[in-house]
Amino acid sequence: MIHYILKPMSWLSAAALISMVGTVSAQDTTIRWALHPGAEADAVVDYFAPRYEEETGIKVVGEILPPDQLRDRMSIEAIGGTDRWDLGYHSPGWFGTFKDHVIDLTQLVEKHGFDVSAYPALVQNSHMKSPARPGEIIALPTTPAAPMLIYRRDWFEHPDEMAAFEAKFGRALAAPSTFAELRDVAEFFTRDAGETLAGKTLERSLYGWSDALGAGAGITRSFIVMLYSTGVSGWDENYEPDIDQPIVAEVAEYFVDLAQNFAPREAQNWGFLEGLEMFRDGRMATATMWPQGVGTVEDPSGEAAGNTAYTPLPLWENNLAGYTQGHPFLGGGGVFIFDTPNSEEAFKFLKWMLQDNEVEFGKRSLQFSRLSHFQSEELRNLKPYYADFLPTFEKVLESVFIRQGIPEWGAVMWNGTTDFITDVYSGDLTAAQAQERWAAQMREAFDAAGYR
Amino acid sequence: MLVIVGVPLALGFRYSMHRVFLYDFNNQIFKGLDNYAYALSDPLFIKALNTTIIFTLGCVATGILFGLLVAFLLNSRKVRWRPFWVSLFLIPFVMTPVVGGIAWRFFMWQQEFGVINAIGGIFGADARYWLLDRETALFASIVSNSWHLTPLSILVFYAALSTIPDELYDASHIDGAGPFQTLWYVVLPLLRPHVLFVSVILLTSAFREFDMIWALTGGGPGRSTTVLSILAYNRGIANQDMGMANTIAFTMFAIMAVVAWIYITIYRRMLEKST
Amino acid sequence: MISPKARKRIQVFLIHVLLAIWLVISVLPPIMLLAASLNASALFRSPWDLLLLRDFSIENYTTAFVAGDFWFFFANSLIISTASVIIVLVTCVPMAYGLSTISDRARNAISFGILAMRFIPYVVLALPLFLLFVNLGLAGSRVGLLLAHLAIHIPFATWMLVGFFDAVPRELEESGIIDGCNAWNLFWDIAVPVVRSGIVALAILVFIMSWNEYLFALFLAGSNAQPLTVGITRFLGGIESGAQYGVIAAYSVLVILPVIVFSLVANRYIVSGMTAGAVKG
Repeated sequence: MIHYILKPMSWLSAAALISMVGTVSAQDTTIRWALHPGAEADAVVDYFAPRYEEETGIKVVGEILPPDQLRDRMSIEAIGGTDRWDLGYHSPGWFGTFKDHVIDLTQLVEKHGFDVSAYPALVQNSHMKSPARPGEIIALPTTPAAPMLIYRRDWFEHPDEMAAFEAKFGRALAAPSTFAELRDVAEFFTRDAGETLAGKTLERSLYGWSDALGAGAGITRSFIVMLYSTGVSGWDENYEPDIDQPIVAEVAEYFVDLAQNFAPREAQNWGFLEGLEMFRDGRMATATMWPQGVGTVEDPSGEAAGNTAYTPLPLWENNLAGYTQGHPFLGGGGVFIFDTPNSEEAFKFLKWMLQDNEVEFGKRSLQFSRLSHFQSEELRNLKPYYADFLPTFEKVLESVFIRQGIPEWGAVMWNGTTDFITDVYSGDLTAAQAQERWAAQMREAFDAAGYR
Repeated sequence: MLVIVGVPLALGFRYSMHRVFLYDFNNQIFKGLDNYAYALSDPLFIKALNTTIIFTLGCVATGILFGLLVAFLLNSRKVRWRPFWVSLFLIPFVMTPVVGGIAWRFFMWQQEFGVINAIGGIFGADARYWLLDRETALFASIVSNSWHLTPLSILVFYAALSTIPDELYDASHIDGAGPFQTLWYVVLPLLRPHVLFVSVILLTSAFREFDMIWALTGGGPGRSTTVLSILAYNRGIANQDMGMANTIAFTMFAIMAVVAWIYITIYRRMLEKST
Repeated sequence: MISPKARKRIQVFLIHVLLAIWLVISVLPPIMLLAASLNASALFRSPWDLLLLRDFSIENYTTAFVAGDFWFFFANSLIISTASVIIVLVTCVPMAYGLSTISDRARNAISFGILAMRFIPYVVLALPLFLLFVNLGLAGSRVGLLLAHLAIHIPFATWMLVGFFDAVPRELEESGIIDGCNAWNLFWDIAVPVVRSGIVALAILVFIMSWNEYLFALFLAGSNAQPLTVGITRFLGGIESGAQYGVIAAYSVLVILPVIVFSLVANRYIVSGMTAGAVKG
């Protein structure tokens, strides 16, 4: 009976092969955009693309890719010269990776009247320029972001908890202002099911702190935020690594202690914002939160809604740069334009969306990137929790690390951090061994690039 | 065929001797054997190699052991519905390994409502985080992958056993041997070539396994299940370091070449003995 | 005292019990997928609740079809798998026949080479193929992915088919020559019909292998060419909190459905294909 199955199948596939050849057809003016999942991608696909087509007849196709595949897919297609996408999105740390494939926007900015000064200076430096393409504008910011600390205000203010904390640590229970204090708070709130919290018996275990700890991007992002808070930059102006200093070993050991003792095991499966659902459900006392996660935390169906307080990341005491609060990198991303025949049309679309519809974009993407977003009354009142959240976010943005956008940043800093913290976390290497390895690789990469 | 296999092999060997980063693809620097020297002195490579060896041997041993047992049971006299058993025993083998990994990860090993902890709970065992615990993740991966590979070994052993004439069993039965003595002293020696064949198939397959582990743990927690193929993937794609990735892959190839040579030597010797 | 006959019967019964235990182990993971996919939300439920379908719903399937872009990935999987089968049959059947008729020494050398292929870890091929395709402009295309599949299938298929052709009785060919058959007749009218079930077995195995393949797809498939195995991993990010357990289970069931059906309908062929290499030694 197999023959009867195979026969139609062979016809099917023959037809499929023919249609495969058929799809290689002529280019039309369709702008294609590779997107990272998130509210801003949904806004592009569901709202801005259809409206732009209505207004101009030009089609915009947004393709949302899995976060862990986005960069590789764009790299593959760009190196292969397939012109698959006209627009790409990425975190500025990796802009240099695309240096050979994206166009200089300076002339288009002038020609079409795009106002660069609408963005805060930090955002301009981070999300528009890159040392890999000096003097040029290679991207437009869409989602600049940096993390903050969130905690359960209702528990922090509960008299039983305040008394117990003071009895144990000899000071008042309050939002942690240093990482050492964060550790105490995390330890204090880590409890098993059956113990009491704020006068109630816990049905399930409670965790003191968490951030994503998944292999690769998750643990890297969580750790690098603390790493930059120690005041290191990765390397100095002579391209000499500074990550081999003792303070880096200290922060690594601190991070591992925090992650292994007070965070849920499940965090090892989280890549980015997934764990905030556990915060939402009342299973965590504090968490590191990227602003894209605020919607989850304040989900009205959850326990944390209305009970969440926001504060900048705590200070790393005796940090090398004299920061007065935690110093995460300025993350999130920007859009760049690949060198395709559609590049000018693509720019016109971006200008229309980001500048002509700036408040609408802020509203729908739930991201604050332009000065006008922070000033817009409409946006500030969009959500009830913005009154607490937004001032903290503005304060976070006062102290952020702007990554050096050289092509090697991803290899030496991001992947270097991945290897380093994975080694220390898993106990495969001591912090000192892992640092040495990291610094050696960094020097090697800079030598190969001719910087040193 | 030579082109489709030979060209990538040659290219891969070339890349393994160069410094090649995807972000700087046009700037390739010749390194000779430096990449290999670096890999062999890199504790992470050594750790991944160890993990790979444990994983591979664990899968081969489990696969052979359970394959023999089940095939022996299946071949026992008076077993009914043989085609029924065989067709269902086949399922783990044909099931897409990625999906197998997903099924094990989310419904078997899962700490709160997975089958393993639920069964363990009946016997009073504590619920464990099987895949999220560095102590147990590799063990759990070996179990899951053995589940996928064992049908092959069952089928081969079963096919071989069914060629053994019944008189042989009768003879050993008359000699007073129990079923396990029969298995050990009568059947196993006859199956030696098949054990060799199956162990090689399982070995090559487990040594390069990627899909199942990737879906189960992604190589974590920490690096506890990072086998060489996952390390090569991480270096090449995540770190964009194609030179080192190819070096790791080629080292795998070299190890397999040695294994192949050993296998062929043993096989030849066995043939010589039997003739 | 138990009579020998009763002992025998207990023994047979125990054997069936052990076989049943192994059966449960074999099918439990896919059964759990099926059970979870048919419950409204698989979250925080004991496996027994899932198996009893306490919260029956088929909503997960509708979500998987729509949100999971199922048909897009399905089409890629089907195209690549069927194209692999066709190309493998067209190239390997004549090649294996040719190999089975040439001298033993030449054949041994070639089949050794083919056997050696089994020892190549796929990742060794995947990395340079990726870079090669980048250079050739095949990166991310279905054609590239198909070529990579063929690199694995062709040696395997040739090796297996040579074994089948070897089993064609010499006398059959000799009588064909006497009847005045030319080389083509000998191949097509005499040898191929004899090995037909072997060819069917091979076709099924190649289809399953292509359908299940993930590593190459991960490296080589661009957004246009991604098969189901890649499609399903889209759901994996962010799943640990559990909201999508039911959907991922439904998607999993859809992915394995064709191969499970194949294995149930045609297991005779699969078994013969899988054991062919082993039994001849």
